[in-house]
Amino acid sequence: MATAAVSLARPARGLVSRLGRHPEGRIALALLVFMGLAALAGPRVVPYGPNQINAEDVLQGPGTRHWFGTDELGRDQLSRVIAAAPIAFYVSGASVAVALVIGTAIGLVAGYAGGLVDIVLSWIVGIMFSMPALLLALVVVGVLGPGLNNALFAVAIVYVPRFARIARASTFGVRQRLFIEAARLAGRRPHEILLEHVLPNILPAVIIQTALSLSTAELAHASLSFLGLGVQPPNADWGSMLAKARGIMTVAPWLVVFPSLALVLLIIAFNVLGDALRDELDPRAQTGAMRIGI
Amino acid sequence: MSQPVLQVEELRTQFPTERGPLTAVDGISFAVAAGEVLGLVGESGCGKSVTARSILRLVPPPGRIVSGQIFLQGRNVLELSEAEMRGIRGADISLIFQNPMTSLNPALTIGWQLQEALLVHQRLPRAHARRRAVEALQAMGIPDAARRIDDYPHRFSGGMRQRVLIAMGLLNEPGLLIADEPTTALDVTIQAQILELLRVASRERRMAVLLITHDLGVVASLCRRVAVMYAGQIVEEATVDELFATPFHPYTQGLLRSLPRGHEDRDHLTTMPGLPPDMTDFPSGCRFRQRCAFAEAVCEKPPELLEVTPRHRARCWISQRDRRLAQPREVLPAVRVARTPESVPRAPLVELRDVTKRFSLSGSLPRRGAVVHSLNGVSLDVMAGETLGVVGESGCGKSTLGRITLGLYRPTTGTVRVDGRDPGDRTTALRHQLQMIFQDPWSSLDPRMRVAAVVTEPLRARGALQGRDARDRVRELLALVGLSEAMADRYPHELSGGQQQRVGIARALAGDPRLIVADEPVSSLDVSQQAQVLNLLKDLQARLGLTYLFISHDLSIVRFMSTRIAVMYLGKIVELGPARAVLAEPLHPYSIALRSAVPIPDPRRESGRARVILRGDVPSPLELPSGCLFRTRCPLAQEICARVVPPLTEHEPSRWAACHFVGSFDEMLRPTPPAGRAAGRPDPVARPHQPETP
Amino acid sequence: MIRYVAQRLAAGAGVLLAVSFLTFWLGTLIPGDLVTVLVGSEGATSEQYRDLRHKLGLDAPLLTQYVRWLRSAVRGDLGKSPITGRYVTDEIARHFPISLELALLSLVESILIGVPVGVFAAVRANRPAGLAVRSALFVVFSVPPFVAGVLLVLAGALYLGPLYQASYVPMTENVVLNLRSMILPTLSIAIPLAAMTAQMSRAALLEALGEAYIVTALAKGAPRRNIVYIHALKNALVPVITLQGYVFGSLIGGLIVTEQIFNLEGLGRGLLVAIGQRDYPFVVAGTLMIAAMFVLANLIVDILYPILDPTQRT
Repeated sequence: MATAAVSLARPARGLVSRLGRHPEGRIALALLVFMGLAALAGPRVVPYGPNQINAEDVLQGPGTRHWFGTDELGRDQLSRVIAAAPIAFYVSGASVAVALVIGTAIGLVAGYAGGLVDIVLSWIVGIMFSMPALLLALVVVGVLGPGLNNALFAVAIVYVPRFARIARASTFGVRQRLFIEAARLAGRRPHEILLEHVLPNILPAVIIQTALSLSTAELAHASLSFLGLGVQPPNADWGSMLAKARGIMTVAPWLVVFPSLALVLLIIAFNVLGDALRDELDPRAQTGAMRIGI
Repeated sequence: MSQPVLQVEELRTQFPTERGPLTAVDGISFAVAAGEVLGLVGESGCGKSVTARSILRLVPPPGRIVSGQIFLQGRNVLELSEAEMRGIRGADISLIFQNPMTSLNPALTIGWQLQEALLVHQRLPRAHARRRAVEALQAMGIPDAARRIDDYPHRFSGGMRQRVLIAMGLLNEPGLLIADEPTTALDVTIQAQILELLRVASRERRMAVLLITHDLGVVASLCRRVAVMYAGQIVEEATVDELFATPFHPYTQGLLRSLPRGHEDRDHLTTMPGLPPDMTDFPSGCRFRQRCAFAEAVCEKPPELLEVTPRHRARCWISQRDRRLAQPREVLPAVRVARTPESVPRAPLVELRDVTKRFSLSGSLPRRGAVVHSLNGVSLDVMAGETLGVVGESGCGKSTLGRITLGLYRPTTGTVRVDGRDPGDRTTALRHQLQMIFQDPWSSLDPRMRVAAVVTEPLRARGALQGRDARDRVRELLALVGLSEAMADRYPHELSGGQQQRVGIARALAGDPRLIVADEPVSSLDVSQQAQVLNLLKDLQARLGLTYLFISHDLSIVRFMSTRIAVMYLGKIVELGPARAVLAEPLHPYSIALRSAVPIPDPRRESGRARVILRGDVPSPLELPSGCLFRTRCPLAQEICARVVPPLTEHEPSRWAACHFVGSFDEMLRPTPPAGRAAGRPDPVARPHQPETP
Repeated sequence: MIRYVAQRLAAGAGVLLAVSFLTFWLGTLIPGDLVTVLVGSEGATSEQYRDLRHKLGLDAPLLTQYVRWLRSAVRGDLGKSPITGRYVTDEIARHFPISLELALLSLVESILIGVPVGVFAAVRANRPAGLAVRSALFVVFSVPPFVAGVLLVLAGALYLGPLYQASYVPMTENVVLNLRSMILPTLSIAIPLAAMTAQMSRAALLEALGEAYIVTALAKGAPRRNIVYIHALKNALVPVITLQGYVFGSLIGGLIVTEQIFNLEGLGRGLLVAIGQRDYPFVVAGTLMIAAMFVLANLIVDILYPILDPTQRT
């Protein structure tokens, strides 16, 4: 077990420096660091509270006092946009993390055990796949009710099958490798082989899937939020800000532009990260599906 | 003398890399005349494939030709425009590649691809082009060509695809054919078919052929002249007879001596120490210097390729000075390797009885329910202390046999017993006594584990070895296989193929095994590394009293290693007996054909040989023929062969064969007149001292 | 081949069955059940409550309710919406064509834009034009459909007058106006998807160009256009087509938000409303309908696959 932990830690340290060698990797990391800092430090630094109503500054365009302008309640848009950043990171990060653990475990077991176990698990995963992502999330939120953590849960559920599928496919590939046979001949038990040999070797595929899922998870979260099913008012969230701004966007376009920009920037960062990771971890061209990170 | 078809002068091709330019081809010069087959020989990485691509100006970017001249029928190829070059490719020069499985476009019919070869060079009506394509396929011996021309490549076996590729290459009657390892990926009996095709094609069309290969047997079989490449340079060039009889470069000599020759009895193979140099950073002076037994002070200056005797050039100061190359002093092995005993010890360690193994093909939708018959009734004993060689081509079930013996697979029917116990039963204490050495050393090592961890894995299952004990054991095991302790902390990707394989062997030894199944242990290694590993295996057997089940497709290697040999075909043993006897006087038609198909790296013997060339491809293991499984390709097949399965019977003491007609093979053994050989190599100037070929 | 299609159809039907059950079950979990909604602010005695529940069949065990629903569903009767009082089947029929048109048009647009752009990016992969396109694709790919939609509406209102038709006109009334009203909605979905398809086309084409058979073709003297547009593209199209199954899934997500933005009375919009109103029958039927579209799209891809990829045929 200790060996497994060590062999898992090793890729992480090297990865960041390897990424740094690609121009794409550098861009992605720079963007993420920038936005991460904004998320962490931003809320403390802004002059106005995100929900603070400044009655005298209603519907101001971008200017020296309010860099991103204000909305119909006079709330400073810069503060709101920044305040929504940690939420974005939290929802996309946490939902993907949950989906990663559960999905990878399912995929590993299905891929390695084969037979009936595989058939049953694959069938379940297949059903989940047959529901389009947003639809499934919608129904789940419909059941649980709107709110931040419910949205998180809904997104996580949607991503479990995606990780399961990647983990399973990758496990199949690793299972054929001769060192697995050698491990069996050495008398290792199946769970030891899974943890010490299979898991570290499917990591590259899983890491790539993680980065790509982060981007689409954020997209899903923002969509839910746009539909009013995410964070509830008065709290700031890019998707809901956009939804509310629709009504008055012809007179106050800045209310639409800045949240959109922030959202798109974060998604771009995740996408470029995923692409750079893919180039780094699997320079050999992959089969079609994995390239877009299904 | 007429102008050579191809004349290459001082060709230099480089690839830019992070560590500086990699000079894959470093100033080589050679010529090929019409009707002549020139062999370009070398191990992997020496630059021969890049040479082929350079001649066609198809060097993969970012590589480029940096200097030199290439003359095709007198025209300088390097001065042509790209459009003119396209006119030459496929018309004046054709190039055939190594791997037929990936060289055809899977999304286009072979008919389309064949016709394209014609239509890009001339305007032809479709029907005419199609007819020419069908004729070309027929000329290559593809049955039912008119119908199969509309098939997609995946419907063809490897051998068939290679024929298609050759047909495609010959369609426009090129003056020069470049064949880059054309048979490496094919089974030996298929290889024989393809080599025969090339031999005939070259002779009948007066076509110049540049044959690129690492296989000296193929060279002896097909070529008139040979050039040996090492580290980007040609180090020796001569007629094939002279090269094999009296090599003048130490590398050539080393290569020839490290080959296990099927007809010789040897304890061990002579090996060349070290590895080829880094192609981005050549040593000064002679590039072979560090590995050379003859090296002297003069070798610090780079030698030129000069004539040592008429028409025999070598890039070596020593042979140029002495006009000969001595036999090096034999370096005696540190441990006396015991002679492989001919007599077979009594006690069987492994007993297989009527073992069959079937695999079902699942997943691929339209063919659900298809079953692969991998083993079809195998009964075999492996005696303690012996090496039983299992030889056969792809699909014969030899790998499955190995894995069943170790308990990795369970037999569908029949029994397996090792030391009286069932190897597949996890509760017995057999586990560490049964180990395997794998074919692909890279795949057999977990890329994320260091050597020390890999080697001690078998011990971890028993109860972990701690600290100093573990380190001691690692050092012991590495020393056993000839690796230094420093290797313990390296990762697999930092080792060469031969070193990786030794790590695999060390791992197999960790648990004090009794039986080791070696599944093609040297197939993916270069010739020089093969010899080292084979010697090591023999040495270990003598020292540790191991029993080997040695699986290989290479007859010479199996002969070298084994006490007894079992020949397999389509999941059955067709012949079994002492190693020397099985190969010197085989009883079964398949064994005869197999032996005949392996080219012997000795042109004098190779030229006079009787060739038995089998028809067709191996039947699919999804649908076995009735009766004798070999009958579809056997030149002697009679009606009884389709009705009755011939049992494995003991025809002479300890010699078993499964055929109805053992002993009546006179027709088969009548030598087919080696007409092609002598007629194809008229060159009186080159052979003043040659005795008459029998 | 027939057997294969039949197998896929059967598999699809099985999936839909499972989806219907799943949705049905999820529907019952929605807190605040139907009766509460119906009763509303009036209040009711617990007896009336129980009566109403019984009348609506809500007190039977889950499986019984499901089977009951299933039996009518196969006869074409998806129940009645207790909110609107209308037959769900009619409601679906009203909403469905709009979603269908939106989906099909967007898909076609995304392919027509995406594939050529991807091929261009591949062919010029190492030149500035190709690199620029590649970077642009990243940006466009990262724009969610609703952001694209909102921005397009903004641009449309401010700058694009004639192109922008604010309200939907059904095709049966006026084809031209209908298409004009669909331009912006379909573009807002199609553009991010086109970027996805373009990336895939580019990657697949580059991968095909790296294969051994390309060198064989070069060694034959084949001209560049044969190599790119016949040898490589034929192989590259296969993963692009199979991607469209996934694209369609994304597209449906896009449908829901786009209908919201552009005020289109499609299934997505209807579904949102129904969830809010606890209109079970519509929720189940609507979800099922959308899932069916998705399953159908994947079925088509599955059937196309052996046609496009010769190695997959018997």
